Amino acid sequence: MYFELLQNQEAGREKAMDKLMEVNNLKTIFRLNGKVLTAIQDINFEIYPGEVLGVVGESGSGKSLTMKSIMGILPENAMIEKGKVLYKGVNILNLKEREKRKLRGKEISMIFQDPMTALNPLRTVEYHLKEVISRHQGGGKLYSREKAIEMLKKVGIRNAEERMKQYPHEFSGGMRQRVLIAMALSCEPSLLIADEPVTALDVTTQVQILNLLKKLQTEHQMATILITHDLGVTSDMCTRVIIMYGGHIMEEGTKNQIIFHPNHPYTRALLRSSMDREKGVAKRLYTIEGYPPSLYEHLQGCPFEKRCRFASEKCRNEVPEYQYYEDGHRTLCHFRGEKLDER
Amino acid sequence: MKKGKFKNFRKEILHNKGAFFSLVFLILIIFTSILIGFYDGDPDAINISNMLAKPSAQHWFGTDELGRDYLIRIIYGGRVSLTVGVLAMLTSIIIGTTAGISAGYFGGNIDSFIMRLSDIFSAVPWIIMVTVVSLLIKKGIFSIVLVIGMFSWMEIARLVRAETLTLKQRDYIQYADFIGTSPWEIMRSHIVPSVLPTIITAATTAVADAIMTESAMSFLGIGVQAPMASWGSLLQNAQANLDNAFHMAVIPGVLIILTICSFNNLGNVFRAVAEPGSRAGESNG
Amino acid sequence: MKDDVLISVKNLKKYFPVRRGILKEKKYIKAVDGVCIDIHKGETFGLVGESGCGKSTLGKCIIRMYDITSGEIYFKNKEIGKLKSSEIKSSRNNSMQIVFQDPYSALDPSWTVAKILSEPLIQKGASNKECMERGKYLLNKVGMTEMDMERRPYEFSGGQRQRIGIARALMSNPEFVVCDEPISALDVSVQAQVINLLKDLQEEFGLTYLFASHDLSIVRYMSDWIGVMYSGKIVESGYSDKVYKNPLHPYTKILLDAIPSIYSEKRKKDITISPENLDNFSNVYEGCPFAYSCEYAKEHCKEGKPLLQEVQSGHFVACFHY
Repeated sequence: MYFELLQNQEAGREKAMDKLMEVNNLKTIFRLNGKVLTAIQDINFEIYPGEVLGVVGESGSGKSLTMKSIMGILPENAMIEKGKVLYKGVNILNLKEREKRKLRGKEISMIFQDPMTALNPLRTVEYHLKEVISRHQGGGKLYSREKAIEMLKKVGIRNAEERMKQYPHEFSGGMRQRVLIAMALSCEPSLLIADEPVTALDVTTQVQILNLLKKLQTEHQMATILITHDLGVTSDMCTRVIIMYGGHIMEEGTKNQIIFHPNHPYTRALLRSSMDREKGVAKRLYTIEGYPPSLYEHLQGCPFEKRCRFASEKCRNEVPEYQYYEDGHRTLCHFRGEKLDER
Repeated sequence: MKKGKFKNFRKEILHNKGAFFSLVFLILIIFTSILIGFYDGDPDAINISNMLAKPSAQHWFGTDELGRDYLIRIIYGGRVSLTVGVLAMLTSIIIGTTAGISAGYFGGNIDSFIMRLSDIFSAVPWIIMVTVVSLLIKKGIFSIVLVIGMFSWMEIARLVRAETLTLKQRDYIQYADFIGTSPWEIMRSHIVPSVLPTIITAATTAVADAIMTESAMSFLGIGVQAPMASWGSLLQNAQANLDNAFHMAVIPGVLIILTICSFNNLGNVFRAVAEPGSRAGESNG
Repeated sequence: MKDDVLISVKNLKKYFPVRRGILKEKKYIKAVDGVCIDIHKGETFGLVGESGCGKSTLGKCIIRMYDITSGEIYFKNKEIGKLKSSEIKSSRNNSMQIVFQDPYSALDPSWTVAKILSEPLIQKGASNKECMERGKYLLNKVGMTEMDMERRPYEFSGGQRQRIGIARALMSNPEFVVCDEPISALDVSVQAQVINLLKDLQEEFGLTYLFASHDLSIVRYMSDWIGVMYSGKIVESGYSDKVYKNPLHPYTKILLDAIPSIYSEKRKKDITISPENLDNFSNVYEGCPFAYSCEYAKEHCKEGKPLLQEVQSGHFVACFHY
C-alpha cells in the first residue's frame, strides 16, 4: 500500500530540490540487563538527491546505530522509541517488514565496513550479485548474469566473467569491497549508505575505492551518506557534514563550514588533533583527554562535558539547545562559536 | 566475569521453565541418592511372600520379583547410574580435553595422530567395542566407567581442539610463548580457562550420554551385575514380568528419560550463558 | 644523533612455506626478502607499508618471535639470528618486547590485569610481590590506577587495553620495543593519547622503538628514521623529514599522495597499483617488485633487482631510476 504510494510519487517527481530523506527526532534505546539505555536521541537531519552527507563520529557516537535504525536492521534488544524517517515523503519506520525489504536494495542500499562478514563464504560472487539483482529487478537468469558482469566491470574488476565464479575469500579486502559496491548499486538506488567503507583498507586502496564511489555517485546522481571517523576522507568526499558524539548531533554544516569555521569544541578538537598529525610538526599531539562515553553512563547534561575545555557547571546539568549560524550551520552547545574564541 | 555469568545463569534458569524443572528434578534425584546412605534397612532383603506386589502404602513402588521394596531398589539404582554417569563423564572429559588441547596447540604430527585415533575410535560401532572390552576386563563399576569413558572422549576432543586452534592465533598466546612460557603452562593457564565453558557444556551432555550408555549396557547384561542394580539393569529384570508387574519397567524407564533430558536441558542453558554474545552490552556505536 | 647501533639486521629473509601437496613444487611466501637496517639506541625507527608488505613479520623476526630463514640479526653486537628458540627463551633477559596492534587479542580475557602484567616477570622467577609493585608503578605511568589491577580486560576500552599492553611490555625493563601498528585499532581521539604516551615513556626510560604502521603521517611524527617497505623489501629509507618532504621512490610518492588530507582541495588522481593486483607469489617476477605497477617503469626495471643506495646524505632508495 505504502509502496504503491512511493512508486507514484517517484513517477511524478521532477523537482530535485525536494528532500530525499528527512529524519525527525529519532530516538533509539537499548534494553540491557533490565535497564533501558538511550543510544541516540534528538536526531534530525535531511539529505537531498545527489549530495554526499558525511556522518563523523567515534565509537559510541551512535553513527552506525542511526543508520541501522533508519534501515530497520537493529539488533534484537534495541528499538526506536520515537521519531520519523520520511523517505520521499513516506514514513518508512511504519512500513511492514515486507515493504521494508522491498525498499532496501531497490531504493536505499547499504555497504558495511567489513566486507568479509557481509558476504557468504560458501557462495560465489556471482551468486551474491544475481541474488540481489533478481530479487529487486526480476528478469530471468540471463538478464541477472549479464547485469552482474556489467556491474563488476563498472566497479573496476577485471576479468569479471572469470572472477565471478570465485568465492569471497579468494578476493582481497579492496576487491571484496568493490563487490559489495557492485551489489549495492546493481539496483540503482536513490540513496547509498556507506558505513566506514574504507576504514579497513590500505591507504592506496582507500583512494581507489573513494574515487570509484565518487565517480559512480556522480554518474547515477545517487545521494550518499558516508559514515566515517576520518576527517580527511570527509573532506575529500562530502558536501555536508554531521558530527556525532555520545548519541547526539554536535554540529552540522557544509563541509567548508565544518572544516574552516567549526563552532563546536569537539569538532575543533578533532580537527586540531588530526591536523597535528598531518603536519607532524608539533612536539606533542593535541589530544582530547578522557574517553568517549559508554552507553551506561547516565548523562544529565552535555555528553561532551567531561572532556571539554570550555565546560561549565551549566554544561554538566543541562542538555544544550542548538545554536544556529549561517546557512543551516548549527551546534549543540551552551556557548556560541564566537564566545569560544574569547575563552 | 564469574559474577556476571552466575547472574545470567540464574536469569536463564528462571525464564526457561524446562530448564528450571530440570534443575529441580536433578537436585531431587541427587539428594535422594545421598540421603539413602543413611537408611538402615537392607536393600537386598528378600521377602518371598511379597513378590511383585503392586504399589501400596507400605511399598510405594511395590516390590520386585524377589519381594524387595522397589522404591529402595530404584533409589540405589539411581545412585549407581548417577555415579557411573558422573565418573564416566570425568574420564571422557579428562581424556578428551587433554587430547583436544594437545592436538590443537601442537598441531603437526601430534594433531594428525590424535585425530586419526579419534577417527578410529569413532568409526567402530561402540556397542561391539564395548561388549568386547567388557568381556575382557573384570566386571564392576569401575570397568564400566572406564569402558564408557574410553569410547566417548572423541566428541569433546574435537570441540576442544577447534577452540584451541582459534585461541592459538591470539596475540596473547604468541606473547606467552615469546616470553618463554612452556607449552604445558600455556595450555594450563591460558587455554584451559578459555575453553572451560565449552567443556562444562560438553560435560552435561556427557553425563546424559553415559547414563544412557550404562543403561543400555546393563540392559544387555554387560553392565552392573546382580545383586547391584542400576536403572538399566532394573529395566532388564522388568522384562520378565511385564505382564503382571508393569510398574517395574515403567519407573526406571521414565526416570532414565527424565534424567537424560534434564542434563541436556542444563547443558543448553550452560551453553547459552557461556556464549560470548551473552555478555552485557558491547554495542558498535 | 645517537651513535650506538642497538640492532643491526643484515640481509634478513623470512619465507613461509605454502602447503601444496607432497608432489608439487614447494612454494613460499617471501614475507621478508633481504632486509638490511640499523636501529640506533634511543631512536625510533619507523617502518611504513601497507598490509602484506612484511613490516609486522620483520618486527617479530628481529625480536625472535619467529625463526628466520636466513640472514643475521645483531643485538648489542651479539648475533641472535642463528640461536635456537630454546636458547633465546631461556637466556633472554627480556630486553626486547612488543606491543600488539589489536587490543582485543593482546590480553587474555580470563586473566586479571595484575596477572597479565606479572606474566613476563614471573617467567624470570620474580616473586608475586615484586610483580605487583612494578605492575602498579607502570600502570600509573601509563595513566591508569592501582585499582585497575584486579579488573579484567573486558571492563576496559580499546585505548585502555592498549595502555595495559604497553605497561606489560615495560615490566621487564626492556631496551627495545616493537610497536606493531599500536594505534590502528583505536578511536581517533584516543590515538593521539597513546602516541604521546609512547613518546613520553621513550624519553623517560630511554627506549628504542621499531614503530610499524601503514599511516605515513603518524610514522613521520613518531620516527627519527623511516623505512618504507614493499613486498618484503625496503625500497626507501632515510631521516624521516627527508623521506617525508622529498620522497624518492615512486611507491613512497604514491603513499604520500594517498594520505587523506583535510585541507587539501585537490582531487586525488587515481592510483593504478594495489598490492592485491599482485599475486602473493609476486616473487615469481623478476626484477624490481614494484615494476609492474610503476608509472616510471622501463624495460630494465623488470630484469634486475635494485639495491638500496645512498642517493643523498641520510637518504637511501632502491630504484633503477636513480
